[in-house]
This record gives sequence, structure tokens and C-alpha cells, in this order.
Amino acid sequence: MEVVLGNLYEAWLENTNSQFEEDTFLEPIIKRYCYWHGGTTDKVDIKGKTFNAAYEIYIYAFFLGIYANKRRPLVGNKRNFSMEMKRWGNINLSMFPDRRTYSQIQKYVFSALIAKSDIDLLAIDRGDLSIPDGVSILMRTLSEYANGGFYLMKEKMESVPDYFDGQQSFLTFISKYAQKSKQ
Amino acid sequence: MIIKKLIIKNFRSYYGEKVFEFQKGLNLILGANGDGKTTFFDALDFVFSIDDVERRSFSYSACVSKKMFSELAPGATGKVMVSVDVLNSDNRPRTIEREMEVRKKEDGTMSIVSSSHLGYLPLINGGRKTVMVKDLLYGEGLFPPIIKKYSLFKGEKALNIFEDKTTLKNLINLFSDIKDLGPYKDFAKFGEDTSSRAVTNAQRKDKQAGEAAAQLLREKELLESYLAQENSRLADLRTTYSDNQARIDAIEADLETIELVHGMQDAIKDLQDEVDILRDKLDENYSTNLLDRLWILNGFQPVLEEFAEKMSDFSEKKQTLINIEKERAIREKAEREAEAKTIAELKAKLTELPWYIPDVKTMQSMLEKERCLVCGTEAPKGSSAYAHIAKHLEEALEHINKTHKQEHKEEIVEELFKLRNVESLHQMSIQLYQYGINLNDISAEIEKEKSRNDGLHLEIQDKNQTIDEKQTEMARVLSQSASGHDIGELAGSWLNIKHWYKTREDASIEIERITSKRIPELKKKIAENTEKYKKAVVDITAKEFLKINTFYKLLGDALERAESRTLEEFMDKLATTANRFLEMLNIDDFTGEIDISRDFRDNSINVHLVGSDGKNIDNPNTSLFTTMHLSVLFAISELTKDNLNSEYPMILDAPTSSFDEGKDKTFYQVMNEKLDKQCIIVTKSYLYKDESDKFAVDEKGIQKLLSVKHIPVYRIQKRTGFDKKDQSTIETIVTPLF
Amino acid sequence: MSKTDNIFAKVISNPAICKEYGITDPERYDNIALGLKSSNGYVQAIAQILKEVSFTYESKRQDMAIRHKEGTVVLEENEMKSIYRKIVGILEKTR
Repeated sequence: MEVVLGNLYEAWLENTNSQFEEDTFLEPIIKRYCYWHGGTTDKVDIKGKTFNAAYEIYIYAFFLGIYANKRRPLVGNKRNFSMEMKRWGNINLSMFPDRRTYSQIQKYVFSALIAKSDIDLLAIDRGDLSIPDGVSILMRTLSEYANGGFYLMKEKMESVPDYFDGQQSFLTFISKYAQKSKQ
Repeated sequence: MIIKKLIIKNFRSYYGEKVFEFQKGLNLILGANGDGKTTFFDALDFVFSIDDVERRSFSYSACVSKKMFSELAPGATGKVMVSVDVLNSDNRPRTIEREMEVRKKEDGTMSIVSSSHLGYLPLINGGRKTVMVKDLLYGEGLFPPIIKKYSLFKGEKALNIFEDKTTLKNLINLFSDIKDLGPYKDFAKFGEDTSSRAVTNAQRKDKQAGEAAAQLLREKELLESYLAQENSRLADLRTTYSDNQARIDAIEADLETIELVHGMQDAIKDLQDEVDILRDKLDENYSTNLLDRLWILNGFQPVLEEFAEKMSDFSEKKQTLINIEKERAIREKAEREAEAKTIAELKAKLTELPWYIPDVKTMQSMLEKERCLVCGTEAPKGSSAYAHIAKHLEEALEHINKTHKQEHKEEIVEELFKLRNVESLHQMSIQLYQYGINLNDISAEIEKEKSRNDGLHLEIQDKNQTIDEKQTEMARVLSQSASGHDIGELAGSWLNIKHWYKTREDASIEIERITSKRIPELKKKIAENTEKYKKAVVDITAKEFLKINTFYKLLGDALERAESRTLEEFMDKLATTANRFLEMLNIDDFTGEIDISRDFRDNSINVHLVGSDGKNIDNPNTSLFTTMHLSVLFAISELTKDNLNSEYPMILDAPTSSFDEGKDKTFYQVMNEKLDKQCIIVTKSYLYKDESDKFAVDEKGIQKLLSVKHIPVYRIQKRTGFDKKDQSTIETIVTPLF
Repeated sequence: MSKTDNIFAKVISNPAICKEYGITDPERYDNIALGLKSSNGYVQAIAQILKEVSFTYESKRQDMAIRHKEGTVVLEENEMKSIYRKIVGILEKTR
């Protein structure tokens, strides 16, 4: 792979700093619906969990936050997935034969971050804003929208504790916000 | 023998002394189930049986009337008795009594004090002489067990006597005009073997002739061993045939149901398989599809547009900035170019200066020297000439410098934007917009998936409902099956059942082949061998023995033939006699007849009806069927009369309960009119349920019967008000209705 | 007519026997007594066999009944041998 120096996108792909509020969300949501162990390459017993690796529900929370337009700064203990953005969606198909890879999602996430953050690309291109700093802005945007999404989920689970246990619940919940955002 | 009087005392439900008086011809006892019908037969068994085996399974205490026993005071005794007064074949009166004395112990339990079973002969002086029951029943032939077996029938099923394979043998022994030919056949065989050995021995002396004969003998032995093998195989096949036949018989009545249920089981299984296939087609990974199929991008269009706009903006801005710079660069370049032009012009002008106008160097040096080197005019500092030269020089130098700077500035404008992220991201936005996933299609795709799954669920539900319906139907069919079989299980092993039919069929074919081809062929070969052998025996002594051998062979064959002829004759006779009765009873105006024949496949006896067209009637209605069996029984009874010079009563339990409405009464009317022999029938006929759901007597019907001939008719019924749980309240009342 | 007479009548009227031993009028032999007196040696032999076997069998049966013994009656070899020899004697005289 040709590494183009000064490419924001390429640099972002290498970033691992996707963060979430550990105390608020690790146990009640992330561990409940994913197998918490790390990446998708670990040998994993995924019986009964809706998603495989934990970042998957993070993606869900992110898009949820985007559609609901809820961005929320992180408080408390912050934890990250220690997994490069470029690995998101690269499912090990021999281990999980009934899944598919979806690495195109990286581009869409990135485009949402550009759209929603206040990063000045001209400054980047001029060299006034460094690539690492630019990536930081984007990652903070990522984390905060995801955080917003997580808080929405937490709210829902307070009124209906096993709402997300339903077969179509994840789909229905995000579709609601997606509909609204289209209008 | 005919039964004149029967007294039942304290025997089971017959509390106290109940008396029945019978006569020749028809005697009726009316009773419904539970009224004491079975007990009536048991009482007859009780008094007429002396078989030890029967005794062993007998429970004495069970015979005692619970009501009688409950009324006994502790320490008191009570009597149980069944006695029967009969007339023997010489019309002499005889009595058989069987009784028991029981005591109620202090603790309320029963002990049997004494029991006796005796026969009595009435004496002229009014007393009676005691005799052993055995002597009466067997010795005098009053009611020997073998006769009783074909005279006393409890229940309709028992009427088909030929289901018991020993029946024919028993009947032949009883009635045929020749005895068991066993001993004679044994002797003929003995004679044949003995004389055969004698021939061989005699032949041995004549060597040459002996060889030929010996060879033939060996051949004969071989043929006979083949014959023995075929016979053995035949026996095995017959066993196989009858075993499978028995299995088929056992379930024949249910065959239709079994097949039906099997079909249902198959249909249900197919449906379940279809349901499984449908379930496999379900794809309800709605949550993971959000990622795998990028359904999560449903609603992303505005974001993408935002991104595209932003990138468009950035792109524009960047471009604008670049353009501004470019313009400036162009302007400066133009200015420089203009200056350069001016300089060039100046330069040109400079060079156009006459030789007396100096160049820059010259000018400089002029300035230094304060003298115009061209014209030599003095140009001291401060003079206009000096200023003039200086000005020109300045201008020239300025232009030269500017040109230099301008070249330098163009390089600086190029370095304003070092990176190309805006461009590449703008490219990305176009790429996602035009060549990315069509975001507008996602919503439709999701809906399509949902409705596809919904459709599958409906189909599955539908099929499951059909499965339920079929299972309910199957359960209903199974519950209605009255047989004791596990129809469900039998249906499951339907292939097994088919196998029985196949095996039976195959055996039948093979039996046919053996009996009609192989065995006759072998017998023919053996006969040929015998002829050759006769010719080969040349020694005179041997010839003599051969004559004797031939004699015994012929005798043996003749005895065999006599035996099978006898069997056929007996069956014919039985059929003829039975048909007389069938005609007399004339049920349903039936115009066919009974045929009794041997089934060569398993050597069993078949009794069946043949229509007037000569065709077998395979499924006669129940009344015809029962009448057929009754006719055979009457025929046997008739043969008993002819052969043994004694007649015996027929005692039957409701053979007409399966008759159609009204037909049973016709049956009794006919029996009443035409029957000469004693027939005691216990039946439910002439009873009907009245408004209060109790059984009442059809008085009219009985009167009609009695108007033809005065016959004994009794009603037996349980006394009302009994407590099912307390057996001591149960009592059968016997009421004469004539 | 006893049962044994019936057997005799049936055997005598057997076609193969009639043919082999030249019996032209089997109907007249309806009892053993007649057979025993026949001039045809074979007819005599057959009558004799039936009489002897029947007699031996019956006496053995009654003997067992008297002694209350159970089981089937079987002719023993020496019993059959003695009858056999008698018959051989009859047949030898036949030409």
C-alpha cells in the first residue's frame, strides 16, 4: 500500500483511540450485546450475543448519535477499543461464516466525521493544522456522537430494560431516528 | 343329553336359590351386559367341569355370593351350590351337584369348610345313588369335555371353531368313519423297509446284477432324500405362511385404519420437512445486517450530502485562494514583463545610444567621474546632467532588480497549499455519492427483507396449522379404533406389514410350485426308478422279496389315499349338513351355500360362503357370518347324534348381538319354529331401553314367540339400587316370563 | 360296520391295488371277515394286516387305560416283526 504522506484519511485509519465511558456503558450495554474480549480474531463463544466484537455496537451508537443529532462529551473513565479504524468491519469469515465483511463502512464513518466536525481542511492542507491534530478532532467527534447514541440507548433501557433483546429492536430503534433525519 | 333343570344357589351374583327349567327346542334367557350372563355360563362350567387344569385356575372364594357372605354372622356357615338335572341319551334322569360350604371366621374372612362334586342316579324307591361325576360325564358320555367344547359357547368370537387348528383333528376323531390310520401306515412302512433290505441282501449274491440294482437303489435313496428335503421345505413354508397369516389376521380388521394413519404420518412428516426448509430460508439477522449489509446507512443521505457540500465548499475555497494567488502572480508577471519590456526597451535604447552615450558601466563611471563620457560635458554632482544620468541609471537598475525579484516571487505562490486532502476528500465525496451504495434503496431493501420473512412466517404458520389439523384427525382416527392394537405404532412400521403380505405371497407361490410340480416330478422319477429296479432284480429270491416290497408300497399308498379321501368326505358331509341348517335359518334370503375346504398353503380349514354365482363371499354381513358358524355347529351337533347316538344341547351367549335391528327376532322365530334340539341362548334381544334409560322387555315380541310354541323365557337382571362399589349389594334376579 | 371294516373297504377299492392284484369286484369286500376268506392271497394279506394291527393296537390301548398311563400307543418292532412274518407266509403261498 502506497502511503501518501500527509493523507488525513490514511492517518485516521491507523488511529485506535475510539473512546467510550467505561463506567456507564461497558457492563450494561457493551458486554450485554457483544462479546467483550478485544478483536474479531480471538476465539470467541458468541452464543446468544447479538453482535460479535464490541466495536460493532460502538458503530451502532455512533450512527444513532449522528441521526438523532446527539453529540455528548465524555465524562468519567474513558476506555478505548485499541483497534485501528482500518480493521473495523474486517470479519474473519472462517470463524464467523454467517457474517460478511463491511469494511466500506470506514469511508462512511469518516465522511460523517468530516461533515459533522469543525475541522478546517484548508488549514490541514496549508500545514497550519497537523495531521495528528486533525485526526484527534475527528476521533473526538466520533467518540462524542457515539456517546450520544449510547445515552439514547441507556434512556430507552431505563423504561424498557430488555428492549434491545428483541429480534428487530436495534433496527427499529435506529430507523426511527433515521426517518426523522431524512425529513 | 338334555338339561331339564338348573339350580344356582349363592353362586356369585345369584343370591339365594335361582331355578331355571328347560326343555327341548329353544330356551331363551334375556339379560343385558352386567346382569349375570357370564355368571350363568360360569355356573354351567362349574358343575360340568372336572378337569384338573381348569380347577387349578379356579378361585373358590370368588364363586361365593358376596351378599350371602356379608349376611353371615361370624362363625356361621353358608352353602354355595350349582346343580343340574339332566336326561341322558336313554332318557334316564341324572343329577350332578357341586357345592361348597364356607364359614365366616371371627375376623370376617372366609374359610372353605368342605366341597363336593357328585353325580346322582335316582332310585325307584325315591332315593338316590351317588356316583362319581367322572363316570357320568365320561363313562356314560353325559357331557364329555370334547363334546362340551363344541356345545357350550361363551361369546360370539368363540363360534369360529376352525380358528383352533386342532378342531379338525378332534372332529375327525369323533365323527369320521375310520380311525387314525397311524398304526397301519407305520406297519406298511416297516414292511416296505424290511422287504427292501431283504431284496438288497439277496441281490448281493449275484454280483453283476447286484451292481445295476445297487446303482438304482442309490439313485432311489438320492431321490428320496430330495423328496424329504422338499417335504421339509414345504413344512417350513407352510409355517411361514400361517405365521404371517396369523399376523395379518391379527391386524386385518384394522388394516384400512393402519394404512390411513400411515398415510397421515407420511403427510405430516412431509409437511414438517417443508416447514424446516422454510425455516432455513428465514434470514432474520436484522441486527447484524445493520452492519453486514450496511442497513445502518439508511438515513445517511443527508449526512452524505452535508459531507459533499462541505467538501465542495472546501474545494471551492481552496480553488478560490489558489486562483487569487494565481491572478496575482499573473499580474506581477505582467508587471514584470512590462518592466522587462521597458528595461528591454531601455536596454535597446541604451544600445541605440550613439557611441558617445555610454552603457551602465560607462554611466556609472561617468557618474563617478562626473563627466559625460559621451559628449565630454562635465556633469558635476548636483547638476541636472548628473541627475539625468543618475535617474536613468536608477531606472535601469530598478528594472533589472525587479525582473530578478519577479522570478523569485512565482516560486513562493506555488507553496501556499502543501497537501492535497481537500482534493482527495472531494474525490471521495463524489465517489461515495455517485458510485457508493445507493442509500435511497436501503429502506426498500429492508422492507423487502421484512416482508419476505413475514411471508415465510405466514407460510410456516399455515403449514403448522395443517400439521395440527392432521394430527388432530389422526388422533381422532386412533381413538376411534376399537382394537387393542397400537395403530400408531403399526402404521409406523407399515413397511413391516407390507413385508408380511409379501412373505405370505412368496410362500404361497413357492408352496404351489412344490406341491404341483417338484413333488409330483420327484414321485414320478421314484416310480420310474422302481420299475427299472424291478427289471434289474434277477435273482429269484430277490424277486420274491421284491414282490413283497411292492405289496407294502401299494398298501402304504392306499392307506394315504384313504386318509385324504376320508378328510374330504368328512368336510363334504359337514358342509352338506351345515347347508341344511343354513337353508332352514334362511337369513336375508341368502341363496348361496357354505363351503368347507382345505387351504393347501397352510393345511388349515376354511369355512366360507359361496354365492349362487359360484363366487366366494369374502365379507358377509355379520348376521350371515354368525349364521354360517352356527350352521356348522348345528351340523357338528347333528353328526354327534348320528355317530355317537347321543344328542347334546347347544348353549350360546348372544350370538345375535351383532345382528341388524329386527333380524335377531326373526332368527329366534325361525329357531323356535324349526328347532328340535335343545338350544339355550342368553341374549340381549327383546330388551330395549325405556324413557328412564332402563332396560325393559319387549312383551309383544315375547308373546309372538310364545304364541307359536310355549318355550321357557327367563329375564335375568341386577336388582336395582345396588352400589357398584359394594359387591355385597349386587344380586341377580331371575324372572320367568312364560 | 366297524371302523376297521371301513378302512379295509377303502384300501381294497384303491385302483392301483385292484390293478396290481387283479381285483375286479372290490365292492363286495365291505368287511374284513370276507377279506380273510378271499381266494386272492393279497386280499387275504391286507385283511390280515388290518385285523392284526388293529387288535394289537387296541389291546395295548386298553392296557394303558387300565393302568392309567398317559401317552400315545406305539407298535414295537418285535410286534410288527411277528405280524410281518405271518404276512410273508400268506404272500409266499400266492402265485
